[in-house]
Amino acid sequence: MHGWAGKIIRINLSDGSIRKEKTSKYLKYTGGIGFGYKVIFDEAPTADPFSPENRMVFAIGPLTGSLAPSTGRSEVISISPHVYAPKSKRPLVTRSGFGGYWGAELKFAGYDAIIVYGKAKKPVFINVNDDKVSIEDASSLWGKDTFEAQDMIKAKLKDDKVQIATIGPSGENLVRISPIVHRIGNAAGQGGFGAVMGSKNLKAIAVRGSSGVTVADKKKLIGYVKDVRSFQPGPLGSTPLSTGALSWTEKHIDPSDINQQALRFDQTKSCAPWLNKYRIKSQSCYSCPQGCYSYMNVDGMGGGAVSCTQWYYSWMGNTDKATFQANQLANKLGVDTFEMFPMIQFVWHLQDQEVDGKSLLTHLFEKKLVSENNKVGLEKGHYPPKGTLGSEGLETLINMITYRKDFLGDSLAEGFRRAVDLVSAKCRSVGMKQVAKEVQGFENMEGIMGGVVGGNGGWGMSAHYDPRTYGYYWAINFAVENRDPNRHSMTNLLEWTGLSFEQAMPVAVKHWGKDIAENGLSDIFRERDKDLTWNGQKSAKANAALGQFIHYRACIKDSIPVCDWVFPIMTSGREDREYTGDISVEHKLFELVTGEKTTQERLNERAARIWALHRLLTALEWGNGKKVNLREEHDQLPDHFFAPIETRLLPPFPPAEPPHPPLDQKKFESVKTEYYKLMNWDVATGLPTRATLKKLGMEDVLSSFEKRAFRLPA
Amino acid sequence: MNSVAFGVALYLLKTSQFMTTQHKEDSVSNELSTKESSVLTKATEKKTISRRKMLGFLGVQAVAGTLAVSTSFAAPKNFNPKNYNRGITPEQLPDAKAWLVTDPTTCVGCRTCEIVCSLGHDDVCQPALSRINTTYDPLHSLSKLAVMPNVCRQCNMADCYLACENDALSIDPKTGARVIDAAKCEGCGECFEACPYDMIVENKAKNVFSKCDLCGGDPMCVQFCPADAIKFIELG
Repeated sequence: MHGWAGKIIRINLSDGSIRKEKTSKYLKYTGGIGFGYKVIFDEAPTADPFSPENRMVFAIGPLTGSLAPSTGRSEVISISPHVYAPKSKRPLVTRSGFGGYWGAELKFAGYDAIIVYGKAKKPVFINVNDDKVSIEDASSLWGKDTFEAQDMIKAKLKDDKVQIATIGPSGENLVRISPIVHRIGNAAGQGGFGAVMGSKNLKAIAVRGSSGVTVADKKKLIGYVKDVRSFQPGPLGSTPLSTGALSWTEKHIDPSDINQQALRFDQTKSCAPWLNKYRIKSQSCYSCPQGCYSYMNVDGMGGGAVSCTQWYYSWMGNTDKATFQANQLANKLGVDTFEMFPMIQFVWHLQDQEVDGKSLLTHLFEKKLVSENNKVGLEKGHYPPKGTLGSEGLETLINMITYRKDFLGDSLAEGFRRAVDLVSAKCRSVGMKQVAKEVQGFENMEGIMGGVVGGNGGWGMSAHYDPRTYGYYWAINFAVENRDPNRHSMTNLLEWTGLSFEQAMPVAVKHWGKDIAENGLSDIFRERDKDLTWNGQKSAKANAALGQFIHYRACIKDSIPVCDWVFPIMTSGREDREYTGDISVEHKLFELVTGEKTTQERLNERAARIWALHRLLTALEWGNGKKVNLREEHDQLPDHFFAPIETRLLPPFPPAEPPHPPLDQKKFESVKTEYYKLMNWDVATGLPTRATLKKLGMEDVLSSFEKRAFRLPA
Repeated sequence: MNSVAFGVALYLLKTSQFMTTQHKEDSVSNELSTKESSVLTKATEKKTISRRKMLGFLGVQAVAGTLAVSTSFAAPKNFNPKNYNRGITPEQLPDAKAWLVTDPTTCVGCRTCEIVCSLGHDDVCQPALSRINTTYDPLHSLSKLAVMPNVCRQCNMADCYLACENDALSIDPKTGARVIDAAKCEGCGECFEACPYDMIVENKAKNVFSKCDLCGGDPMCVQFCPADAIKFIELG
């Protein structure tokens, strides 16, 4: 067997048992999220996130550790404390991933996954060193930040090259927005899986391996990777034409020279140019040529890695060193940086909205729901001129969340969306009805910045990309996911490439054909009052096809795995290719590494299996085994996407653009219908049918589901 | 100073390392003795060689006692008189004709060099077998050197070459690279001990050692580095 290591570690922290299993029983689900969903489906699909029964799966796939580019991701799968789905009877399963060296090291130690469950009696960390797997005491690590904890483990194991995934104090305190952090900035951010580790008294997992990954066709793989390099664009699908904050492209590069491509990338310059002098260089994950994060070393703040949303404080308007401090605090103490967009806006909302001439925050202070010190600190974090939007406000907020300080901090630690409900309910219970109403009003707020949409997010998480800007395919993505539906297939074509919509369209036609491209895509940079492209049934079908493309590619990316940011390679920087990338790279790499004859269809079938399993898990959780109609109950968007915006804009700082015109419920439903048809799911309920599951070779899953829940549509 | 006296002087300088090696080798032998008998035979042979070396060491020491020792020369840790059998003295060793030169300020830490090196030479993506490696992840002193590739220097006076007792090292006529022939390598580890830069790689599974061979003049690490951090420099 090439690619896979062949073994999985299973650890029960309650009784300290460690077992090794064969990977073969999970191979049908490829790796990564496929393994994770299968384990959870089989073993504890309706567990509470913080219960010992909840399974945490750390999984990699066949391409991990190999020469295949951008394969440094590790996937974490568990039932999530972060997902917000008040209509669901049970908490929902979801996924998160992180880059760096951890996944490759796990493969080199000889494993495809680690399954953790139970709860240790005292703080522990798991130590994997080739064949030796042990549970070690972590009492001295408890309370330490993620950097210090990694240092202490390295010192204890006397090994500088050990790779560690750990949690900060926030995870220990069950903060629902706490990430799992690896090295100095690789993080599994969303999902709150840091808190799941905390609930198991598990501080970290350290891995060290000395073996390797064999590949089926060494010669062809080496040749093919070189080929891909010759057309693969630089970071994030950029072309020499890119401009703008997220394009991150230097214009002097030579796209035909692979050695000039990773050099294009300088996030510091585009996100926080005032920190340029502290920038060290760009950095990559294992086996990745993209270099998508900046290593920085700022006086008095130490070294750290910053990428994308980790620049959140500059995106919120900060223009001093606190931009870097914001990244360090979030990574060290453990706060999901993407959540900080709506979180900070919510705290501003509490200061901007007034009842009886006093801010909501002042009302909270008067009822002793926030201390005076913390109130003053938060006010300093207000955007200018009221506050300074600097270091002090930031420190106050992150410390309140990490250590659950005051009622307010304790609520914010539940994530911004739960905090809205909790603070509002508390205000109501102490007789402040109007204050409660104004607090709750945040859920309808609007504001587009850095891809964050609205005060409701996606399943309660700060969410990527506005369906009103992109299209109904993105609305489908919002509806059927269980989390922020973040995927980068479309940004790699429409947003970061530097291509104009007119230049991107021929590329899209080559990938999907004229019908889908022209009826499904809209120019995301169009005027804000201009609606989405819509040509009746043709657009319903086109949007459904794009939705399916996104989901199949998503499941492929998270299971073989390759980086979501890089794949599929939609565009190229090369003019002679008319800026066209190659979306067949994944299946070619898969075949060259595993030796399994693979076409895109075969890989899509693997993806369909994983996506159907995710669907069944969701159905099981949503109804706790009772019959459910996912189409009607689960696959919905927050109301504000369908309503005119009126006066619901978030604070006007920094200037955010208003949303595009609202979606149309009827169009949305027609796209859903076409999407279920394409997936071979039941159109009335959105459930995978018995026939589909049988066709995918999932008879065992079908019978297991029906035994525990209800009969699926034929 | 004639070449023999030079060699002896160098030898003397390194006697302490020699002792260390000897000690390590003995402990390896003990470990091996618990394994299969074929391995055991090899270990016994090793011990024999070691004893012979020890005798040689004592003899040379007696002669060298009368010589003045200059400390201004870098010397092979394990310089071995037996190498004269090949008719080569350190002075006669042909210089390298090419080098790998690295730029730590641009290295992105993707470790593709390690992957492609091990895949190219050993048919497996296994950084532990790579003849180029990276230093990475210092949490505290993040500097330009935060991640950097480490390469074989192809030393002019190659300690590895001079240390080999089995004629397993040869010189690539094209690049001057010092190359280990896996078929001739007995796995004694003398080259590994001798390398001052820790650039000799041990393949425990196959009981052989390996090192950078400059890929015959078109190094894969250079071809695949996405950051232009490794260069192949031809000298002269």
